[in-house]
Amino acid sequence: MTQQNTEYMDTQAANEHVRRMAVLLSPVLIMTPLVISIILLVQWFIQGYLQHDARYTTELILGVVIIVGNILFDIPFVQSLRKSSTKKVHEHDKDLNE
Amino acid sequence: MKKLNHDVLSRSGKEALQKARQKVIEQRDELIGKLDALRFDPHWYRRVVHTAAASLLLYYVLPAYEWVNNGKVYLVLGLLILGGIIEVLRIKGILHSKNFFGLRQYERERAGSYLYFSVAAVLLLVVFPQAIAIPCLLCACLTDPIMGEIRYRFGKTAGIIAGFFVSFILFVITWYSAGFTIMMIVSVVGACGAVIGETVKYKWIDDDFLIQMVPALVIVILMLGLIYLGVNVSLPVVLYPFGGTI
Repeated sequence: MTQQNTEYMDTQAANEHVRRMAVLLSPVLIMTPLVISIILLVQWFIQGYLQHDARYTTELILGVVIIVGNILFDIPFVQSLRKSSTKKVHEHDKDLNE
Repeated sequence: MKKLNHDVLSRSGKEALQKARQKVIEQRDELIGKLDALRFDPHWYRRVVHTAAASLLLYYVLPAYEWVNNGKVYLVLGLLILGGIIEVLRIKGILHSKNFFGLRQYERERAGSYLYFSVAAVLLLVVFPQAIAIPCLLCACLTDPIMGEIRYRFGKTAGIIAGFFVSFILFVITWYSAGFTIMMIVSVVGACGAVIGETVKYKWIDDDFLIQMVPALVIVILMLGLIYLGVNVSLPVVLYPFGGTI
């Protein structure tokens, strides 16, 4: 957890269902913009590249910008998720074994 | 004999059902346990929510059928009203703040920044032409988190410079077909607006609203000024609907 977390409301006190929902929403948050950028790239490929229509170049550039922008923030987000989950899940498994 | 067989079968069926139910319960408990064990940084969660909002560009890519055009407007307005109702219930205390994940301390007694973001995004999508709406929306999705991270690591000035640079590029991408002079003027003015919108802090107006609305309004004023001066300005079409023209 970073120092910036002091400015957030206590996430430990958050409703269990809400936290689970946030976890389950994470793949949607990561995948949706990637799907949209792929749609833009497909549109550029079909209309722009195959039909030689230069008006569709913006689709290509925006698709790339959205993919890059999202991956830039998805990586630290997933890293923060994995670090804590590995530790906690191991603890959880250990408790179950005991 | 038949009755006995039937009884045995129904008993074994019940046992199998019981076992299957037990197994499902165990798997559910295990999944819930693993979900509960997951902890992640609300800071990065908010950043990802910001960048994921770039998905709103789907609004312009949907096929240009009349029912789709009407439906998408009603959908975004409906979602906005739903968000507004939820926030009113939260602020009045009917819904507890612990039912919301990743809210900041100062959002306890005022609307959450996601509502400000949504209001500005819906205004841009519904009211403004896409040449203005798309770069302003992308500024909120990309400039805001990039500027925030750089400001946190390297200080306020570096954040402002990076924010201006990123916003400038976003405006250049969307306005390049309007001609070099118009592109440069709009990009500089829009990037300044985005940085001002992100930098200026008010208690009751979130920067997520200002970073979208300030550049949009500044560009509208600029366009009106150019038209008043007799400059021929045509707004570029940035995105085309899937499978057909506008």
